[in-house]
Amino acid sequence: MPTRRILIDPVTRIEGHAKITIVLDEAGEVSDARFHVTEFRGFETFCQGRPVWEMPGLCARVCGICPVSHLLASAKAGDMILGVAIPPAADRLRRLANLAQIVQSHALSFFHLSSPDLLLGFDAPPEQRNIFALSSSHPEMARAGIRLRGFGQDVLAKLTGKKIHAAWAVPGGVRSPLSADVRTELADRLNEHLEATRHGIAAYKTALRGFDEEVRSFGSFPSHFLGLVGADGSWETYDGLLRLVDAQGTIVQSSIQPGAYSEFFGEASESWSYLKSPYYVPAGYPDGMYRVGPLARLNICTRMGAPAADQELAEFRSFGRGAVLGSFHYHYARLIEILASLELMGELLADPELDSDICRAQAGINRLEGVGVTEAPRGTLFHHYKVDRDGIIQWVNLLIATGQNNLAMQRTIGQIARAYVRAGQFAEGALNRIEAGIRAYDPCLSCSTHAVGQMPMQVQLVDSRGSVLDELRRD
Amino acid sequence: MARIVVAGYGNVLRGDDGAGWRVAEAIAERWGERVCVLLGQQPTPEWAPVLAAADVAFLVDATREAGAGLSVRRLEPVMDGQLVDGHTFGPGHLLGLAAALYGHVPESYLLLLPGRNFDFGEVLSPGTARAAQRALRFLDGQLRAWHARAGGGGA
Repeated sequence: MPTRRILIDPVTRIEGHAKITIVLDEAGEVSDARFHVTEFRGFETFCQGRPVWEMPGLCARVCGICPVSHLLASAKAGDMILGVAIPPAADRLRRLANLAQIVQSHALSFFHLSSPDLLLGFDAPPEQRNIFALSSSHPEMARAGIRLRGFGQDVLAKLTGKKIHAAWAVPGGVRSPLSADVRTELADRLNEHLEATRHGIAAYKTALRGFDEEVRSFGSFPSHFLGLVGADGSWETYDGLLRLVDAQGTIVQSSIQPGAYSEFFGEASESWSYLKSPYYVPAGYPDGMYRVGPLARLNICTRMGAPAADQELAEFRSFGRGAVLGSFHYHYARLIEILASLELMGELLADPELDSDICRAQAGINRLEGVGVTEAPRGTLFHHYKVDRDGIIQWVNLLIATGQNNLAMQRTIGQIARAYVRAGQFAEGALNRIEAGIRAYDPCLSCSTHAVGQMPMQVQLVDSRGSVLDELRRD
Repeated sequence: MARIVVAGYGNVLRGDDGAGWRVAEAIAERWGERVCVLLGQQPTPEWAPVLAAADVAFLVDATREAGAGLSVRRLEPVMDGQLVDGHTFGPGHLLGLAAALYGHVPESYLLLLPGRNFDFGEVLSPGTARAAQRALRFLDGQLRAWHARAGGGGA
């Protein structure tokens, strides 16, 4: 009996375009599963030749969901090339922007994209498992999600001048401060959203009781986890050092300097996807699989640094012995991060440093290479540039959060398929769960596909029986 | 004063795709606080509560499918969310969400401008620019009429 392929194309309610292939062996059991990213961007190449000062504005265009992450990582790489410490007000304003973006992006992921699965059930038919059905069954939660995402976008609009794609952060700082009146107005709105987030967490915990099998099969396996932590090991989204923990929660690397990332993390390419597959070099490829993003950040930090979020972190930890291994828990981690972001935004909006209008350090080119690292909503984001003496970009490498989860996503698909495919047949609801397993990572594929001319390519001409008639490939 | 929303959407860096955005931006300059203008790459759920609080809404977009000139048609709510995601959320879905979550849908119209060139660039092609001017004249007339009906002033 020949092998069979099961194709899911397109994968819905994620950012970008992808397809999934599941390969069955002669006995009809799952032998392989692949998550193919079929879109292609190319920022690493077409940014060459641009001045480093333009890079934050250019790179903010990488993504419409997390432009601030690229803006800030790019500006930080520029800070290093200028060799400056940015003014304290600029540091606080950048932090505020990153937290606001985490709020709006996580709100989109949980309330708009994933809550139909979680609150209406994976077995509900698609016409009864969407935002309109949610409006009917959980109208207040749907309204709260819209308001919460809108709040994050409003903060960004008032801070950076635009809801998306602002060119506000620059090498050396930011272009504009935030007035005291606007800070007060924004601070006054925080309580409503803190309350809505608490309701979201309560609804999630209730729903979770019905998902024992999904929790076991949605990417529950040992891996490393990577992210930034503060000097005291606390949850960090803007600066700090890289920490890597293993599946037991043991710290494997406690303080990797962002500029040294390439000594520890490699990038493999596969012929069947535009998405690169980063891995932890000392463990080799593909054994060096690691996860980034909300689940990883909560696994690596010692505390959130915000009271309500720290209470939730204690409960989150109860889902694992050592690190929390199930990717299903990305959802809970995401909600806890919304809570922490709102709490910390309150502190930042009251910070007296923001009364200063000194928010940009001026300097020329003092280094020919710079690395900027931030925590994007989906995980750790690296921008690495090399420039000439005039600050013209000669080389770019972007290491994107979604790419770093690529190996884990592949393995998640295989795990779900093995749980829901028997003797060559899908069990009821299997396709919904495979898509939802990917959605737990909240992948952003537009962000993650950048390399031009390096990607191995394979084009197959296949007949209706699955036989390959012709093949073109570039290795 | 009538509660009027003009929402223009598209990508202003992709030639004619930005026509709807530019029309709405021009309306904001002409009418100031007497109109609520929304700008975006595409309609988003965050616009639903704004529309639900309006008497009338005009959504302005550019499309290859439009005829030679400006086309105006009445918009109705669409409640079928089976295939709705971030990239397929359309004006009908926006009205559907306003109805489902906030219980009110304003009288709504979709202004479609004919787009010819969607390549990189910030300039509208001649036919699209002419349709944008017609859209502005149409909206000016509508805004005057709606405000007059509600007892307000014109531009």
